[in-house]
Amino acid sequence: MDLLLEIAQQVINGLVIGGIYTLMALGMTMIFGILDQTNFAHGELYMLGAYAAFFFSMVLGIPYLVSVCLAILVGVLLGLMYEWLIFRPVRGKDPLNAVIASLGASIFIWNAALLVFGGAPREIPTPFLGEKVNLLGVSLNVQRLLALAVTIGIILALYWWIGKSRLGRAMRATAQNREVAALMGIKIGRVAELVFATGGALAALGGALVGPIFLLQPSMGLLAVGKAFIVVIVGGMGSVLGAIYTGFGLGVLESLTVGFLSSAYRDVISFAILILVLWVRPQGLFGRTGERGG
Amino acid sequence: MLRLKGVDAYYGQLQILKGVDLEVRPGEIVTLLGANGAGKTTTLKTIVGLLHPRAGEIVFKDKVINRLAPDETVRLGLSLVPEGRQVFPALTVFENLMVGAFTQRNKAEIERSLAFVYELFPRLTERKNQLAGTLSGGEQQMLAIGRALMSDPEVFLLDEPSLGLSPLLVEKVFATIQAINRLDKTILLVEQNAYQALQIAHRGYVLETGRIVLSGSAASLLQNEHIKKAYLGQ
Ligand SMILES: Nc1ncnc2c1ncn2[C@@H]1O[C@H](COP(=O)(O)OP(=O)(O)OP(=O)(O)O)[C@@H](O)[C@H]1O
Ligand SMILES: [Mg+2]
Repeated sequence: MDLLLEIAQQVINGLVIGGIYTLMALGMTMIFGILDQTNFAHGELYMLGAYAAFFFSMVLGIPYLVSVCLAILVGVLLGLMYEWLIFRPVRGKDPLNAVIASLGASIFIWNAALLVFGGAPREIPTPFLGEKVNLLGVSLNVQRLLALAVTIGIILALYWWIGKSRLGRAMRATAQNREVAALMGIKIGRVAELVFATGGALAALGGALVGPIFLLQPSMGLLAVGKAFIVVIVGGMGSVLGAIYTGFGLGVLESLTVGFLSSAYRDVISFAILILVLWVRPQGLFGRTGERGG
Repeated sequence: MLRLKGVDAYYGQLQILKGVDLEVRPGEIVTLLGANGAGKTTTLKTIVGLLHPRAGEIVFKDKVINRLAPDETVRLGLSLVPEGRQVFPALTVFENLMVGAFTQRNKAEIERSLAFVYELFPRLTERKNQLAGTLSGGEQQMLAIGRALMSDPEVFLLDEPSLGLSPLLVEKVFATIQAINRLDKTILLVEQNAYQALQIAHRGYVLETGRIVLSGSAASLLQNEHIKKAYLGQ
């Protein structure tokens, strides 16, 4: 019985982490699938989202949940800046240009954050952090549950939005054939703004949610973006569903590895999966060869 | 209604269109004929704004549209069925049609266009929840035409709609084009199938290596010796 409880505990922890990977990976996979661009600076949106939540709640004293909403707004603005300053100027050129531009932006933002915020880790104490609830014998931290619930809610809403709304259809059409999408009256620049605003919002939300669980550091984006990248590739570049399943799956797998083997294997496992998938199914678990979308 | 005056168009340094003059009047079916590589697709791309002319003028409804982007020309009432159909393969038939209606904001009007397209192509109704990529070539062509109709265009541009279809389907496509024309839509039809295009067209133009070399009424073009030899295989 103890073993079962331990497993349940690790699975929940894994879903929390996996949800964060998913929030990051969704934005990156949308940017890749719809705009054919790779954003290596996506981790900085996550990092700045966490610091924004810290700023609003700790410096300005705004309640935590309101601070999370404000951090999302900051994420939207940052996403738009990414589009206008980094990605629009290199769109339609060699894809390597976007890689180099975003790598440069990542290094710049990371160092600027180090200068402004300092290297010392910070925490966001929230009222939920100390609280625990007992569910069928499993003791659960309320902040983690909150993070998980919000993540799942947002992901479901996003999935519905992409699948059923007019703008979601326009984004998928753009992913499949940009020229014909333009013929239908879709403004590609607007779609790009929408994609980056969404990506920024999701990443910032991720940062604001885990801020209280882990410590904030300017380098936190670098670690997260690596994992999110693995999720994007394993899930299938451009696949929204693939990012969701892979993100949560990887989080759970990592958590079980840490719980039952050793934390030394945490990063080994994701790289092992990456290599295995690239070997057996290079288009990713949910990737299509040829056409894209979904 | 739509008029090209001395239009030059390039891909990079390569000149494709050389002083193209062409006119489409309200209610007409005009066909643009020419061999492979003559510049027919390039002409259509230049009209809808996928490419911009380097010289000359494109006038639509008394407005110069040389510099407009495709998302603007469709809002003015031009709609292109691109060469090779190019439906969105991972969207359903219904979703393809709804993307075609992207510029329309009036729900009732979208419903009306949708009903019209489904009536024109009952086959699409049966398959409305099927992914477009799984349709047959003929069905994809119907979908591409239906999708272009969803923006309720005034001028309808078609790029080789009969390409790769069986003779029976070719008949159907040409009959459909005539039916659409009867609904007061003006049509510019690019074709290699010169005989059938001239059967339904009012007037025609012949494009050779980027220049208009012949034009006139469909009846006169059908009798023209050069056309008979080069395009009708007589
Ligand atoms: N994107 C492009 N870049 C460079 N050259 C191009 C491009 N597209 C077409 N061309 C060239 O322009 C010329 C005209 O092409 P276009 O597609 O307009 O011909 P077409 O009359 O439509 O022929 P087809 O009947 O084969 O469709 C061709 O010589 C073609 O090789
Ligand atoms: Mg062509």
